[in-house]
Amino acid sequence: MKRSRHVPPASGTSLSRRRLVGLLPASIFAGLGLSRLARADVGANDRKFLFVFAQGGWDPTWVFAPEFDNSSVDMPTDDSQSVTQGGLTWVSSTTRPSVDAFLTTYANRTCIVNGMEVRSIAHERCRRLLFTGGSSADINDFPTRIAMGAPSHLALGNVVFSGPSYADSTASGVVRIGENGQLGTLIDGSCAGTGLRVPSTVIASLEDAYVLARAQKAASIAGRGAEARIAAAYTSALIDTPTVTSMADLLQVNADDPLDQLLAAATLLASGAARCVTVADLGVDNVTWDHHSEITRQGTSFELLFERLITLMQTLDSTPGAAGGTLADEVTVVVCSEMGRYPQLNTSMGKDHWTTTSLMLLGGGIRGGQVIGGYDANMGGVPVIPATGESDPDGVAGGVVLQPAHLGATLLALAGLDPAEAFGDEVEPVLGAIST
Amino acid sequence: MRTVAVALLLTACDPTEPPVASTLVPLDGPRLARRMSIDLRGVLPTTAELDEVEAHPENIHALAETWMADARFEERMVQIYQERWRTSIDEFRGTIYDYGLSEDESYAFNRSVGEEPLRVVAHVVATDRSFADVVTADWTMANPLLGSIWPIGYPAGADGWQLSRYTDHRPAAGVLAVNGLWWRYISPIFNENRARAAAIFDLLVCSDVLSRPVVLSTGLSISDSSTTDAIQSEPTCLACHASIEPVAATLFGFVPLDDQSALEMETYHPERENLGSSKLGVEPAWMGHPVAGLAELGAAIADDPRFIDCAVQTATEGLLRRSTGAEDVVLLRDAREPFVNNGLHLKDVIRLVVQSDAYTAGGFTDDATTETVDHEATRRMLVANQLRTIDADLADLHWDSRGYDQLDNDFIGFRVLGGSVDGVTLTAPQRTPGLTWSLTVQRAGEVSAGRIVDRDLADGATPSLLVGATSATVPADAEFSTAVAAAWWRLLAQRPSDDDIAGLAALWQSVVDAGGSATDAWTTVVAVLLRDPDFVSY
Repeated sequence: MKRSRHVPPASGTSLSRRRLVGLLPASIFAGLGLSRLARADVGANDRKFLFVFAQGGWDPTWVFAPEFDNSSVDMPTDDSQSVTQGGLTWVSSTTRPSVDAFLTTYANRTCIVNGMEVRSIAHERCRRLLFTGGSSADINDFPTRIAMGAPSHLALGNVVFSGPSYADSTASGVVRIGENGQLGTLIDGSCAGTGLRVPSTVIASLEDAYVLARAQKAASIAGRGAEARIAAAYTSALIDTPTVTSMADLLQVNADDPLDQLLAAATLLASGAARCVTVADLGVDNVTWDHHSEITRQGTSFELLFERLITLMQTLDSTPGAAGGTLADEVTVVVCSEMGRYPQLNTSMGKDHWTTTSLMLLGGGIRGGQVIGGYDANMGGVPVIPATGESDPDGVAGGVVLQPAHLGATLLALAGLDPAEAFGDEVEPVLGAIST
Repeated sequence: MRTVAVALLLTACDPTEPPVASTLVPLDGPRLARRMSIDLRGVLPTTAELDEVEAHPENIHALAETWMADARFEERMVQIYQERWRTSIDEFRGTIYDYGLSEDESYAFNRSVGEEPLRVVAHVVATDRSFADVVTADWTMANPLLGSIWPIGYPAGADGWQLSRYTDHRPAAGVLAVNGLWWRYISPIFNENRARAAAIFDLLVCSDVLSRPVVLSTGLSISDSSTTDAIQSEPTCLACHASIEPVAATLFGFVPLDDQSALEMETYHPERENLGSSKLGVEPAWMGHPVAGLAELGAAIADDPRFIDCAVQTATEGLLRRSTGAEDVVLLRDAREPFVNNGLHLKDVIRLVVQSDAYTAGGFTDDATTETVDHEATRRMLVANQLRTIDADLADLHWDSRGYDQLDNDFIGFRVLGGSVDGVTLTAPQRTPGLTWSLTVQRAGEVSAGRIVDRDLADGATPSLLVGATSATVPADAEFSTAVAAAWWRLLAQRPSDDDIAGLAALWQSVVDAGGSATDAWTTVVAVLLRDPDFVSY
């Protein structure tokens, strides 16, 4: 196991979520304590997204793919068995009680997608493919697209607490917290370090006002193209800075604690300042899910992940949303990993990379209680009819093997954006995954 | 990348000139000098240089020649190639703990490893060697740290990055035979060097095989067909692997028996070279041409026209600060010609690009098309690694914390937050400002401003930026206007108007009125200039 690389932000320790909750206007949390608030109709414009990324490549056969009848697949050798309940079928084990608890409790809000072809087996490439639908460096990832497509300007847009983030050269709405939360040190000035100084609040306000005026002047006289883009975006960033500064505590997370980040994400989404948040989950060792040896670590990693997801869902359920219901109604949670793992064990009792994987959609906007797609005998993806989500194993009814672009199209549709603008007409959103 | 390279070959005989040039308006001399100086040596022009191009704009290219001979040019090549090769990452499998180094040496360790291949390219370019040396040289670049931990014969008594040689009998193959490249582009042992072969295609011939979709044939059975069998027989696999496997077969001298062992990874293993054929079932080759090993692979790559095209494309994109496309075919072709004809000196490409309409453009004529307006980078944004060298030059400041350069790491610093490439999640420099970039610019400007003012206004100092000012100078003094005008000229390459100077005088006074000291007021004046839209873009 690698040594932990966490260094606490210089400005101090992370705040507890309870304390963060206290930082938001009391009206937002007026309903706290209610076990379940009334469901609300949430328009696409109000839809928010939380991406939970299991970094390193998970093995779907530990939860999502009960391929016990496929002799070519090495399934877990503990007491794992296939369970069907609430429209979901999964791999159950007494060693993973949180998986069972989650899928039992939240079955009606959970949609499992099996057999998605990522189309690569290289980590970096798979991550880019999974988050953007393509392999080019000049494509915005789904969170960035969704944030930039928000009906009104958001100070934070797309916040990346941890995990991948891909933005093209024109994307300005991505707010990365930094590997150890160093954004906070930029905000509070503690980044200056020994022997260097930053201005007092009073002087800083004079400085900021001058710079903003200069930027606005530059924007007003800028020509076309890059000059105008840079001036306008700089002005926008300067205008947003006070808002972000006032929310600095919301952006302070424990870099080594995915649960802390998930709960911070919920708080941030509740605040309305961000539309998308990404959080990485690094598995049982808090390093990676890339288990080329000791594949049993997948089981423990899934158990921990679902334990966190239970806490997340409880938080979303008990947090009032902006549209009258709960935050759970408004937030679509995407739980995914960049690749699957080869169906058979290697000599180190681990599993190598595989192009096909599973993911889970849950929460707001998702038609739960269903498994979309599946795996064929060779652990390739079974074609799916996007409009219905039904499988089309022989491909005779227009079914397609799902790819990350289909995921992206589905999320854009949920966000009220036109998937065709991003992926063309040939990539249909999986409407079968979306609740009506 | 691949598209442009192919287009370049296809249109090599097409004399048609695209109409783009006629709709571009060039920068004025001082602003162009500022752009060139930043791109070629990573710092602003001196006041004297700005004065010269203001008086004699035609001298700009003579200055560019001077700047390409500057020692800092080599550093810029490191930065430009980092944006493309992405080797300078924050964490490698081998760590400081493997070598008994301290935590404070972590940044230096990771940068030394990651920059090794970049330094080889930069040295080839800066010293006018043939670009073929990049893949054929029998030397590497090392610093004392690498010299102390790896089997490298670092020159005794030397300092900094020096041309050095490995002592473990590895082949002469330029960057193909340096640890830094293969520590960055690792192949898991099961992967048999295929990932590394893909990196060779991507970095050296701009052919991104990993962008090609992996399509599983329905005829492929996981039950009766090993991966190797499929790769050698399945048409959908062969499309890529027919090229990849023979290259991967040349790299087995870099395969460790234990990929957690730094000692195994740092050492070349000649005795394992022949494992490639047996492990992969193919003979080493480059695009169908058999090669005997890594050295011949390097030579074969150097002879591949795509290697030339890729070098031209990489340098051009690094200078234009944007991707190249079909609109740039003529420029790429023109830049290729002297490169090929004069011994593969990349400076010939750079020289031609910085004189091109696309590079010098600062605006558009009214009849420029939307496509042209969207494509051309008539204004570029300074990103973290550029701010780092500019501010260091202006303020004699290396902004670091616990041994980490704050504008060049993502562990506790602001490289990605400031728009620079980390090589993993940000693979092209940010080109439009965002919130974290703005904050990075702000803090970098503020700490630099403090240092500049402390230095310039110290008793008995001769100010280098605030020319003529002293700690007693106030806005009512003529020296105030002189100092502010000098700073404005140096930092923005523009002459300030009276209103501009009056604005800074008012800011200075408002700081004092708010209870700040004269030092605070001067620091604020310099800080706002270092955050000015015309400073942070170029």
